[in-house]
Amino acid sequence: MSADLTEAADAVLASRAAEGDERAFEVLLRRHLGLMTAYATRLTSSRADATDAVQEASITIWRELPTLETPAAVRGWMMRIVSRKAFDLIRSRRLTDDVDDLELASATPTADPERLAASNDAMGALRAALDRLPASQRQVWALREVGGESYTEIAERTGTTVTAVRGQLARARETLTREMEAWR
Amino acid sequence: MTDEPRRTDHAHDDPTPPDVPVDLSAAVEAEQLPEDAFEEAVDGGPVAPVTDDAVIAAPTDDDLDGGISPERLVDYLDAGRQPYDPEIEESPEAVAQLAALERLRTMGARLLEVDAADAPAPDPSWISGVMDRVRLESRAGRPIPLASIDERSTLHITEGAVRSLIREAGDGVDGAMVISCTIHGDVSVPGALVRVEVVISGLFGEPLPTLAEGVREAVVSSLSRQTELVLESVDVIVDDVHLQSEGGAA
Amino acid sequence: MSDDDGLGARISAPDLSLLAAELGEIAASVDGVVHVRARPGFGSVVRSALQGLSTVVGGGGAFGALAPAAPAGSAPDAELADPSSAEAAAAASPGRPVPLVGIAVADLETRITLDIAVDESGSGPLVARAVAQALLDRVSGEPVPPASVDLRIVSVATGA
Repeated sequence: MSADLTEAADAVLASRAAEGDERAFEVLLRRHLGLMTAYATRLTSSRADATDAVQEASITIWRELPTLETPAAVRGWMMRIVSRKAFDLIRSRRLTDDVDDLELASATPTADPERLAASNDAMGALRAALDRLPASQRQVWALREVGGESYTEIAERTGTTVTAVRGQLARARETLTREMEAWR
Repeated sequence: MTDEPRRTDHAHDDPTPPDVPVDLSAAVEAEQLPEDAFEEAVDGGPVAPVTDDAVIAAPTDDDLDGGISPERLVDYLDAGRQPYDPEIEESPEAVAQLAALERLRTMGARLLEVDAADAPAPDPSWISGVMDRVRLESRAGRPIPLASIDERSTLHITEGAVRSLIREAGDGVDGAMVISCTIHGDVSVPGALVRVEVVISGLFGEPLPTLAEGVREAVVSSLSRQTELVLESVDVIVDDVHLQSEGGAA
Repeated sequence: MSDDDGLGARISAPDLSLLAAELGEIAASVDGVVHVRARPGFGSVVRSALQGLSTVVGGGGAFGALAPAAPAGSAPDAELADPSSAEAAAAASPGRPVPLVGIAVADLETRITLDIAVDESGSGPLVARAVAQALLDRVSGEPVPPASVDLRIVSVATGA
């Protein structure tokens, strides 16, 4: 009886996929696809763009898996590739970071009226508050809180400075805590 | 109070801690009472000098370099509130703000889980599209010669195919799962001695030496039938142990 | 091998393409073969490896050897197969896929290139030799220079 790959730990899947095991790669991909898509959506504010970014990220992940030194860290590593591809896409759509893009906020798939109105749960309140943030603040917040990226990495991603990133983050957190505490 | 470089350990699964270089231009030098500075920050003033073009006016003329900036609180939170900072922990406002930040972080994590679970199931054709592209970049590795039918024809099996053989053979042993495998030696020379190394995870409770021996035998059997490699040895290392239904947790 | 024509008798590109398709079917039907695959990079490999290359066909879809053969030191009157005509001719019926097996005809040799996936219930080396022999047997008698096979087992399938 063959071992069940769907039960295998990330590190095992990553090791095997790095050595060419396509089945292991598919299991790993499926396992984290929801997370990767959610992350990409929050970064790009577009489900379609998110799907494209995740697809490109998937191929890159396959290609670069042999370079991953700690297989156990594959999830965070995959997320960093997702953010790389998401920002490639964002840049190619010519969205600049120093524009507080209000249109973008309203274009988010989560900003539908039903969800915005029904903030009777904290989750909805946070989602709505995130959607109201300027795109640049939302992105930096997601890169830090979801992607766990360092300030240096975020600065590279967004084409800004560490100081600017800290500023954006502080503003985002300040707005979010204020809105969440107000909601309480 | 002196400032010392803080190593921020981000509270995530990722064992590679993000570097957080201390931006000394935002360093706090206590020239006023911590509480005063904190209140200014809570009132919505800028918390760090921002050098890009988004200029935000300070709410007061006071030097915001004092006390506990929200950034410092976040760094403290990131560090897991270690080492214990009495200046923060003994300030009710700071503690309250920390709590709010912690709630935000928790809520953010939960939101991500919900969004991840809510993400629509991938189109089967989307996955197969990705896998098709993946297959085009299969890791063939070194070509390993097989005895040919004439002088000019060349027959090979790819190293990638051999590794998959080893994985299948190892996986086929009840309780064993292959983590990685390596073929040491010059595989391009027919008849050269090669050494195969297989790293496996064993089912908890199984006698590991027996498992390892089972894998070794399966690998030797498979390689002798499918390749013409001359095996000096097949070393099986049990590097990990797994439970029956781990649920695929990382 | 033809003796009266120093250049060797030429098989037409469309016929060569048909032959390549046939070789693919022969290979796939050998006991123990799960499927046949095109060799990635087949076209560029034979262009750099073979002297006096005149016709290249097959090698699969996106990886088909479609660019013209430009061998170093080729005789000035050597016929170079025009790839677009070769492909157009080969696709006698529109939509016919490029054969997976690659055939490169050069001055002194004909190289047949393919990858295969085999079933693990058999013996890979035996299957590989059986396929190579079957292909050579089919090609002998064709108006091409002496043929050789370049075959790789890229996958050993279990069960499914």
